[in-house]
Amino acid sequence: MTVTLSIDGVSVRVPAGSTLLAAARAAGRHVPTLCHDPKTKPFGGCRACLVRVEGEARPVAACTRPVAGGMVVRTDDAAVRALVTGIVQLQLSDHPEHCTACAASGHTELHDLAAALGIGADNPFAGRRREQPTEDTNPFIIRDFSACIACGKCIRICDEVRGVMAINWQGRGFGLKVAAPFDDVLDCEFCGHCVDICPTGALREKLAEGLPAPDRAVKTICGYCGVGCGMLVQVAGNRVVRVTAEHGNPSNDGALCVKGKFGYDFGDHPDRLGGTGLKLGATTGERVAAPLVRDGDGFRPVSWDEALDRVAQGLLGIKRAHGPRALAGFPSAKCTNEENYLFQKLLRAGLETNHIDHCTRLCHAASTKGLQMAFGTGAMTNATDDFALADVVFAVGTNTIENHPVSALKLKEAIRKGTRLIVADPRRIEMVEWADIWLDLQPGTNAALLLGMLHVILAEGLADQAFIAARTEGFDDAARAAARYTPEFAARITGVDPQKIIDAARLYGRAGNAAIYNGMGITQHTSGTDNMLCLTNLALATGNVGRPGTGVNPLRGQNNVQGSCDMAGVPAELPGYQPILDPAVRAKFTGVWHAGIPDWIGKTLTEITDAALAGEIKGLYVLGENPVLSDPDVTKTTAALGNLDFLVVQDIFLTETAKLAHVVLPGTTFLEKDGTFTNTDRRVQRVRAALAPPEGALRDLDIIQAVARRVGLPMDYDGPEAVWNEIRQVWPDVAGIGYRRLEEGGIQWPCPAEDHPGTPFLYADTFPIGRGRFHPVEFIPPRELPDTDYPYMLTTGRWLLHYHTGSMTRRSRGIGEALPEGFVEIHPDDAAALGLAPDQPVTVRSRRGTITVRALISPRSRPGVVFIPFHFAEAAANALTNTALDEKCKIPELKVCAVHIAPAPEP
Amino acid sequence: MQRPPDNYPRIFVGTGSCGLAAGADAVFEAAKRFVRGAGQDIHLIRTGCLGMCHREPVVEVLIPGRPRVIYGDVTADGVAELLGRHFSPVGPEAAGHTVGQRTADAESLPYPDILPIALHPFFAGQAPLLLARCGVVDPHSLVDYEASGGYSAIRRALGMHPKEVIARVRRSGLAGRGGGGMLTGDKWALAAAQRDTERYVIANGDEGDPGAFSDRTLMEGDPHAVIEGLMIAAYATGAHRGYIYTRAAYATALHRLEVAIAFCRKRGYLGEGIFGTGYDLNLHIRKGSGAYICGEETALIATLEGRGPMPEEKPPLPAVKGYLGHPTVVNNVETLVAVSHIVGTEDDALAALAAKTKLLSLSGAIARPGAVEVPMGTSLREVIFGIGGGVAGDRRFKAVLVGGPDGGFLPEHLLDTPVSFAALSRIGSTLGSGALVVVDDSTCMVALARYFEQFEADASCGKCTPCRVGTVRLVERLDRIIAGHATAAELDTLRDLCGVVREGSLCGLGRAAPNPVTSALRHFGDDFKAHLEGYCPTGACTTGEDAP
Repeated sequence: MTVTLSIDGVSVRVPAGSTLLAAARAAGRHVPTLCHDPKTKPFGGCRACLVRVEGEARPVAACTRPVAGGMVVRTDDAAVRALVTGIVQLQLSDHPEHCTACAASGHTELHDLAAALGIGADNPFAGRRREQPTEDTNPFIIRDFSACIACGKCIRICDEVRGVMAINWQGRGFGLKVAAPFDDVLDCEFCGHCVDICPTGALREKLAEGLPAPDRAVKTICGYCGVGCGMLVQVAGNRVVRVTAEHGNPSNDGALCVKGKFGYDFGDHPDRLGGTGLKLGATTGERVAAPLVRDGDGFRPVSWDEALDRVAQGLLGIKRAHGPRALAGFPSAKCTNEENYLFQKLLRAGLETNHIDHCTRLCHAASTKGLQMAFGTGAMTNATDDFALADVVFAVGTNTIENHPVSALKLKEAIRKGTRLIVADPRRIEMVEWADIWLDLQPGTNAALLLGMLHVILAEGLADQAFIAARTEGFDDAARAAARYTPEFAARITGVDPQKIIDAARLYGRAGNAAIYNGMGITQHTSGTDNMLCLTNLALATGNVGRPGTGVNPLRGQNNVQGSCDMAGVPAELPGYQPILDPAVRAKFTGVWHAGIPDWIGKTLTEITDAALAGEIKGLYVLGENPVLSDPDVTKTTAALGNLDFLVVQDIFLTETAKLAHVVLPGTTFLEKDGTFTNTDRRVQRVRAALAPPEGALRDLDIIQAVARRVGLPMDYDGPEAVWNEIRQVWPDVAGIGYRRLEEGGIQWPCPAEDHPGTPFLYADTFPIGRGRFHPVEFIPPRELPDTDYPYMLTTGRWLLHYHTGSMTRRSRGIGEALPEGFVEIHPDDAAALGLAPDQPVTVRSRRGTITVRALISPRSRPGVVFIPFHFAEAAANALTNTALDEKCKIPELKVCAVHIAPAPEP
Repeated sequence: MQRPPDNYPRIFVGTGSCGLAAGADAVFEAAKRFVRGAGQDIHLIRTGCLGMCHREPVVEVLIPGRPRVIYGDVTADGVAELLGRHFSPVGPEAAGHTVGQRTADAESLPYPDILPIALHPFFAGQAPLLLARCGVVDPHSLVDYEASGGYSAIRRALGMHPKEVIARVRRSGLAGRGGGGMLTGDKWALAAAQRDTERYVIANGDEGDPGAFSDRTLMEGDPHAVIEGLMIAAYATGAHRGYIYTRAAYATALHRLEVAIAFCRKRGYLGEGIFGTGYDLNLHIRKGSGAYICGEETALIATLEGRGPMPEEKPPLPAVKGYLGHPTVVNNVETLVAVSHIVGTEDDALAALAAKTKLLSLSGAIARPGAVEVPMGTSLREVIFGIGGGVAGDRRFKAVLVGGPDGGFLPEHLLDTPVSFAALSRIGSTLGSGALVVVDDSTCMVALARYFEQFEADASCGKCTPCRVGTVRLVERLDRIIAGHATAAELDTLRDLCGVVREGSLCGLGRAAPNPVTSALRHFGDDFKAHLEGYCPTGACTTGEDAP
C-alpha cells in the first residue's frame, strides 16, 4: 500500500507507514536531523526536522510523523526555519563555544547544521552550561559530556541494534545524561557503534586523539573474522586515524565490533616485520626493516633478493634431493583469494606438491566434510541474513555474539521480531540470555544430544516425510541409528534435562523455517564429522534445506577462510572444490596454467606436522599462519617445525612459528593490500589498500610471484584483478563476478554469469550429489576424559576482545591494553574446592604440557569444566590440547581434554 | 467481615489524605474509644473525603431516622464530647463544629437549627455527581458501592454490544478530563477499530499538577467507581487487561484501589468470565515514581514498558499504537468515574449531566480550599468567590493559576470565564487538571512565574531540546529581571524564547511550559516593568542595588 502526498509542491508516493522524513528524502528534499538514525526507532528529540503540514497549527517533526494521503508538507517554511534556528541556538547555548570535541573528532553534524542555518557566534539564548567532566578511563572511547546534545542515538543503537544496553538516560531535564549503570565509567563491549553515529564528537575514538585530520577514506573489508564487515579507513598520510563502518554493506550495514573498529593499528607496532621499529635482540639494538635469515640462534637482515634467492634455493634443494613430496605449504585464511590462489598454484605447479593445507583444518574441516557428505558442497547453505527469515535458529557450539559479533546483531534483531533461539553450549555464554532453550551439554556429547533430538522428531511424527521421500536417501539407516537415543538415554550422556531435549526437538521440528548455525564447539572433536552429520540429518529429516531461513550453516572464523578453501588451500582439490584426482579437472587447469599438476592427494595440516616430525616432509612454506599456537600440542608442533630442513615464513610479525624459520619474509596487513575476501556467506568482496607497506615489507602477492619465478614457474600478473580473472576462468561459480561489479558491492557465489545476481541460498531444487544423504551416526565419547590424575575437563575457544593467536589484537594499542593477558575460566564451586582466589595464578597441566595462568572465577563455566582462550602465547591453551584426530576429516580434538589444576607455586 | 445491620447508628470519619494530614487517624482512634464506652451498638466507618479540606478532620454522624450531620475541625480531644452530645437527648449543637446536615433523605426527621448542606455556601454552587460517594461511603465496601448503584453500569454494559457502549459514551458528549479534551467515545472507537486485537486500557491517576488533588479524592473516596469505569472502557474497546497507574506517593489511594480490586477478584467481577459472562478482564495497579511527566500518556506508557519516562510524539496516538505497540486507551480517573455514571443510567439527560461536570481543586490564598464539582459553564468567579469564599484573610485577589502551571495565570477581569475546556483555551489558558491556585496581592508575579518556570524546568524530561534547554534559559532570564539587571529589550528575547519552547517542544508539557511566563507577561506586565525600573511592586523580591 502506498500513500501520495505533496512535499514542497512535489507529489511523492511512498509506502504507507513511512515517516515524513523518509518521504521528504524520497522526494529529494533535505531535512536536517541530529537525533535520527534509520536503524533505531524514531526519537523526535532534537526538533531539527520540524516541517509545516498544511492544516496543522503547530510545526511537525518529520522523523516521527507517519505520512497520510493528501498531506501537503513544506520543508522550506520561513517561520519553521526561524523556529529551528532558535532551537539550534538553544542547543548551542549548552555546547562549548570552541568545541574541541567537534574539532578533534571531525564529526560536526551540529556545527554543519548551525552553519546551514546561518547561525553566528552571537547567541541570543546564551546561558549557563552543564558541567559534566569528560571520562577518559577506557582505551577506546572518550566521553565528553559537555559536547553531548542528548540526541540519544548512542543509547538507542546500543539497545535496539547492539542489544547490549550498556548506557541509558540518567536524570532528567537539563541534567539529563547518557550514563553507564550507576553513572559508573563505561565498561562495555566497546564496539564503538555509538562513536560512529555521535553527531557532535561527544563520543570520540581515543586512538585518534592528537592525530591530524584524515585526508582520505578507503573502503575495504575487515581483516578479522568471517563476517566480512565493510569499513571505511580514514587515513592521514600513511597512518590510520580511525575506522568507521560502511553503511549499506549487507554483511554489517553500519556496524563493526571492537576488533574491526579499534584493532587496526597492529601494523604500526614496533614488532612489525619490515617496519623500522623492529629490533633484533636486545644486544644489538639494531633496527631492521628487511627480510630476515637465520643466523645461529637468531636472525640477520638481508636484501629482498638474497632472501628470495634463499627461499628458492631452500625449496628447490629439497625437491631435488627428496622429491616434491618432501615439500609442503600452509596458505592463509587471512590472505586474499588472489594470494591464496597463487600460493597453491606455486606449490602445485611450481613445486609439484599437493601437501597443502591450512588452519581451516582446525576449525571447520568437520563442517566442510560433513556438508560435502550430506549435501555435496562444503559451504554455508544459507547466509547470516537468514537469521531474519528463520522461525527457529538452532545455534550449536557457536558463541556468535563473541566470535561473530556483527552477524549476531542480525540474530538479535530476528529474536526481537519473534525468531526463537535454541542454544547448545556447555558454557553459559551470552547467547544463552537470548535463547528460549539452553541445552547445557557436557563438552563432547554433541552427537548424543542431536541423536536424542532426532529420536524425538521421528517418534513424534515431526519429520517431513514428503521431503525425505522426494529429496533424500539413506533415511532408514539414520533413523535406526537414532532409535536407541531416547531423551532419557541422551540425557544420561549429555547431562541435559530430557524435557529440554524434547522441547528443543519440538521447537526445531515444528518450525516453518528452522536454520542451524554451528561453530567450532561441534567440529573440534574426534567425532566432529559425525556431529555435523547429526545436524545435516536433522535438517534433512525436517525438510529444512533449500529454502530461505533454513539450512546448516557453519560460521567461518577467518576473514577469508571461505576464500582460502574456495581457492583450494587444501590437499585434495583444485580451486572451486574440483577434485584433484579427476583427470579432466587437472587437464583444465593445466590448460590455463601451462604446467603439470601432481595427481595425488596431499596430506592434511596435522598429517604434515606428523610427517615433519618423522622427517618425511623437510621443507615448508608458511603464509601468514601461526601453527605453533593454533595447532594442538604446542610442544609437538614446535618439535615438528624444528625438525624441518627448511622453513620459510611469510608474515607480518615474528610469530612463534616465524621464530623457527630459516627465512622470514615481511608481508603486508589487510590494510596494505588489494584483492578480494570471501565472507562466511560466500560473498566475494573487494579489499582495497589504505596504507603503503612499511619500508622493508612487500605485498604478499608480489612475494609469491617472485618466489614462483625463482623456482621456475613464470608468474607476472598485472595486479590482483588479473589473478582474479584467471580464477573466474577456472571456476565457473565465480565467472560472473568481475572487479567492476564488485565496486557496487559484494556478490555471493555461485554467480556463473555477469548478469547473474548471485546466490543467497543453496540447494533450492537439487543437491550437487543428487539427493541429500542421511548418514547413520553413533555417539563416540571424546578421546581423553577426566580421571583421577587429570580431574578437570578443559575446553577452549575465543574471547570477544581478541582474535585467534592474538598476533594482531595483542599488538593493537587499545585491545592489548583492555585485555592484556590470558586466564582460565573456572566455576566458583571448583575454585572453592581448589582454594582459589580471583586472579590467583594457577598451574594448568595436561598430558602434553603445562601453563600458568590467572583464574577467572565465573559461573559461565560449568562445574568440572574449565575454559581457556587460545589467544595468549605465554599461556597457550594449545600447550594442553589433545592432538587426537577425527578420522574422517583430520580435525584435532581441540575442544576436550583432561587437565590438572593447582594454585601456582609462589614465584 | 460481618457487616452490622443498617439500623445501627453510624459514625463516619473522613480519612482521605487531607483528613489524615489534619489528624483524622487520631480522631478515629478517639471515636473508637467513644464507641467502646458508649454502651450501645455504633458502627464506626472510615470514608474518603467529602471535599472540605478547609474543615478537616471531618466527622459525620448518622442516627437512623435522622439526617447525617457533618462536623468539621474535629480534634481527637474534642470528638468524644461532640459525639456524646450528638447521641444524648440534647442532640447536635447548632453552631461550632457543626457544618450542616444532609437532608436529602425525605423520610428522616431533620434537626431544627442546623443548616441543610444544600444551603451551605461551599456546597450550594456544587453539583456533586462524580464526588457523590466521596466522604459518604466506605471506600473498601463492595456492599456500600453496590447499594449506591455501583457495578450496575458494567452489568448494563456487558449486556450491550461494545459498539453500543461506545455510542452511549459518544452521545453523552464526554470529553477527557485529563486536559486533552478529546471525546472519550472517539478515543475508544479509534482503539476498537484497530486490526490489532491485543488492546489495553489504562486509568491515568498520575495526578501531578501543583494544587491538583481531585483525582486523588476520587481514588481514595470511591475506588470502585474508577475500577468500574475502567471495566467499561476495557469491554467497549475489547481489552482484556488494564492498568491503574497512580503516583507512588498516593499511598492511601493505592491501598484502597488494591483492596477494591481484591474484592472484585474474589467476587468474580475481575478475572475470567467477569460477572458470569464470557468476558475476561484483569486489572493491575502500577505505581509511578513521581516524575511529573508520567502523567503524559505516552511517557506513562513508556514507564509501564520499563523505559524511562520520556513522551513520544503523537500521532500515532496510543489508541492506535500504545502499550507494547498495541492499541491502548488511556483515560483519566475522573473521565472513568464519569463513564460509570453515564453508562449506568438509561436517562440521556442524566448521562449528559454526568458528562458535563468538572472536578476542581481549590487551593492557595482562598478561604475555603477543597475538592469541588461544578457544572461546566460555572464561572471562575462563582467558584472562587462563591464556593471558595474568596481570598483568605484580608488580602485582595491578584491572580488564579488554572489547570496547573501549564494553564498560566488569569487576572481578575477574566474571572467571568466559564469553567470549560473551550472557553479557557480561547483565552490562552487550559482547564487541564482543574487545579485552581489563588494568588493574593502580596505576591510578585515575576517571582511566582519564576517559581513555576523552575517547576517546569525540573519537570522537563530532557528529551527535546526546546524544553530541556529553553526552560532553564527562561528561569535564568527571569532571575535577571527579578534582580533588576534586565533591559526592556530582554523582554522581547524572553517572548521569543517562550515562542521557541511553545512551538518547538515535543509534548504537551513542553508546549505549555512557557505559560507561567507568557501569561504573567500578558496580564501582569506592570510587575515586570517595575522590576526593569529597579523595584519589586510587592517588596517580595530583592531587586535593584541589593540584588546579587
